[in-house]
Amino acid sequence: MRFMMMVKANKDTEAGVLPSEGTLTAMAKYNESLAKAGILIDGTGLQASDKGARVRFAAGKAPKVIDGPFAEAKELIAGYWIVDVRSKAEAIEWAKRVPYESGGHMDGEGEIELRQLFELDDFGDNKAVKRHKKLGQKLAKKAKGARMVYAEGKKAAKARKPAKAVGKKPGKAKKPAKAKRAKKK
Amino acid sequence: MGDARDVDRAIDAVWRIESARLIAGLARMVRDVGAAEELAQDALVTALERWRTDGVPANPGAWLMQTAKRRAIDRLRHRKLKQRKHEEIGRDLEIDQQLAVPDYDTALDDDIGDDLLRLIFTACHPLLATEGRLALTLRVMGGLTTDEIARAFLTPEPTIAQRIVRAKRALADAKVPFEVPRGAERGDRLSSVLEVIYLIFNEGYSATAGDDWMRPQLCQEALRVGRILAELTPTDPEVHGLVALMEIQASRSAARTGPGGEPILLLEQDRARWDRLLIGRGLRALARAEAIGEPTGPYVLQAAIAACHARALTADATDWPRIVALYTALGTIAPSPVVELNRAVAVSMASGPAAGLEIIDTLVGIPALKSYHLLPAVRGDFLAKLGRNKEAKAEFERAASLTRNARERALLLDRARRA
Repeated sequence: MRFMMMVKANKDTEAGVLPSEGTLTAMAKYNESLAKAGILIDGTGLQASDKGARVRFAAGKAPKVIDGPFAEAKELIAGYWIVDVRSKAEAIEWAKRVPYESGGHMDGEGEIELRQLFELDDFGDNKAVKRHKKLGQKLAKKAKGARMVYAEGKKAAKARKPAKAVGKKPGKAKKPAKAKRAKKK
Repeated sequence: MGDARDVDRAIDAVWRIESARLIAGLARMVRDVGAAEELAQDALVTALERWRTDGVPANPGAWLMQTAKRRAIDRLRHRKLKQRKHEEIGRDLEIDQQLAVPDYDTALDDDIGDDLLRLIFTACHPLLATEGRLALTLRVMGGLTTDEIARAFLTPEPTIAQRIVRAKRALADAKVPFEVPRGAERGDRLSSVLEVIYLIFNEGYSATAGDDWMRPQLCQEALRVGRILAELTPTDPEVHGLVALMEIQASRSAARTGPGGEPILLLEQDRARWDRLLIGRGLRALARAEAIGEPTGPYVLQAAIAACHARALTADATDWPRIVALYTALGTIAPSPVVELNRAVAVSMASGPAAGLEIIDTLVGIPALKSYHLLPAVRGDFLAKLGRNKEAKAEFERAASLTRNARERALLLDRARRA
């Protein structure tokens, strides 16, 4: 599951004060630890809100553009990471390790907000998903013939395996596991 | 007490984050991955008791390391006492040096990375049976419990437990050094590491909708280990190639099965459901591999093929001539009839069914493909496109008799009827 860890803005980030060298070093080290744990998917810092804009919608009216900066720094986001973890607890554990204690820019204070990303599988059984499913069925009906080689389903993945496992003899690689599974069923 | 459950969850998360580094650091001390893993488990048990009452410490990783280290010292002292008569003094010095593990945090920066690499290479040692390699890797690199591994592989727990025990014992018996091999051996050992990671990935990728959630989780585990490996050994193109291949394949997870769990073919998938974030990561990993510029290996080539599909916004926009060239290159370095079959399809997409048929006719009769239903299915399709309906019908019927998937069989019989 994926979480976005959002760093809330503060006076300094909003004033465009660049992080101190100490903060940069601590952050680089932290980013590296996320990468070396194999969980860092994406992330970046965001510039101050005076470089941004808001587009506001109201019923029956054309969208209204409001240029930054925006008040309430702590409601703004100054940067984010997207991490791919096994549980919310793991995301929290990583968030706790964000180097806020390094002083300077962050000055030991701040807030990380964790939000879980929707994955397409999460959408449950609502109308939109049902519509999508019908479409999927229609598409599946169309799917026939030669293109089967490119199938992404169970069979195809298995069939592909021997070819992809380097140096393996084709057709033999997965026999034992398959036999066991069959037995279990 | 909701708190107790929170603490347990936190401990679980800490374990997930720290276990591989912990085991790797301990393995460097005790020179035995099995013993290191047991020491780490012991430390976890102590943590469970202690943290439930005292709360999770500020630096849980260091706490676990200290606890495990103390236990390791006790063990080594104990063994030393027993062996004193037979051992020379020099050995004592050596043990003392091993015990002088540097401060955990500093160690994290340099040595732990190397230790992790040693740990992956050791867990994937070719002297172990493939199944043992998979289980041990998930155990020491992923921090998975025996039960979780068993559920993921649809295998009884005792079987997995035994595979792990056997693998650990085999490593100890063979006195496999805890190191990353150098020279020519490194290449072979790295192939084994990549193979293990990709087998884990495919095990998860082939899971169906109804399967236990642990099974698809294997894709995540494989990706995670792959990404770690890419950070630890950034100059191996095949590592980035494998990561690229897995990222791009994973990007299609949501699109590749229909609502009833039926497979949706690559060219029929709703590309809006492909995960752009993972595609971007995959393309970047492939670019890293290609930038290293060594002779292109099989994973880089497969990733490049996957990338051709990922880059095409619609199925019609697929760069088939390039895919043909990549399959040709793949067939040269890793010849296999299945690769040839895929090349035939690519050729038919690029140059028409007659050209595809020409290749496929060279595959008929190859023993490895004798019961492979996709061979007659593809051949039937080419024949049908060429208007040779009678031959096509026979091929579809043959394909239907070979597949074990009922849904696929119905599809093929339908085509046979219409041919």
